[in-house]
Amino acid sequence: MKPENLVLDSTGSNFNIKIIDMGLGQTFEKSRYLNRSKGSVYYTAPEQIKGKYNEKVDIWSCGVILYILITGLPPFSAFKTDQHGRQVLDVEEVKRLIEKGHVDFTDEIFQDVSPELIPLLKRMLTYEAEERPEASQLMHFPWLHQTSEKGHRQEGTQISSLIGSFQFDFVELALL
Amino acid sequence: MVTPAPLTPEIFPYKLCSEIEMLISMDHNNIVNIYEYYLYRDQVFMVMEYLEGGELLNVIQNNPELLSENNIRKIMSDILSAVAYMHSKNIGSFYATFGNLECTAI
Repeated sequence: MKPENLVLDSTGSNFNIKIIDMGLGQTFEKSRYLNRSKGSVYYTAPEQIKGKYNEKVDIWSCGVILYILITGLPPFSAFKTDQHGRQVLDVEEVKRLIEKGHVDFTDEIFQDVSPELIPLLKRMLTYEAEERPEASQLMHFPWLHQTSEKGHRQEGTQISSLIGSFQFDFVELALL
Repeated sequence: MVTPAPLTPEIFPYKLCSEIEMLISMDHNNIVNIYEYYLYRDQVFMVMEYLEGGELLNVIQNNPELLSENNIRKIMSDILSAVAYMHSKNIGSFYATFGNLECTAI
């Protein structure tokens, strides 16, 4: 799952998100593990790097998407300078960071959103796949059923411009 | 929207057809509808639901209000609902890659 696959069905405020091209989504059996790694490195789950994974990687990548929507940046990123002096994504370093799995929740941007949102994000980015909840369990999470009052983030001007620079500068280099 | 995709020998035609049939069989408000598909020479054409809103990250750049907490909640509810549905049908999205299946609207 990656944001490039998420499309809005209308231009108005009453939009729905549609997943397009889950592409050749793969059928799985509950206990079986897959060992082919696909997708962008930003959204890759730790167990995907190790090579043995199942559908729980979708929960991780949804957590990465949520992290980006809150902060404007992916939770794991690293850059290096190439031989032409350009800043490029350091895929190997990003993989190392994901394998360590340390997510930074200290950014003050997290104070703009309800405190109930952070536990949901932490649950989605649970390092061990077996301990990571399923999507159907996450849907009962309290934050998804409340409405934000004034004082919580009403719009994210700064964040949307961050997403803009992040997407156009680095996303194509982020393909594994 | 009509999207041609180049076919690779490994997936053409049987595996691809069965995967597209699987996509067509999905019935969820947050998963794009695919109505039918055609194979023509080395390309597959899929007739998909028209989505006028555009790609999420592109839309966000011009509409920062989409990043209000209430809109993030709507976005995440939609995504999780679709993922829960897919997983209930034993379909994972993790195989998806734009690298393999380049979609171009024509």
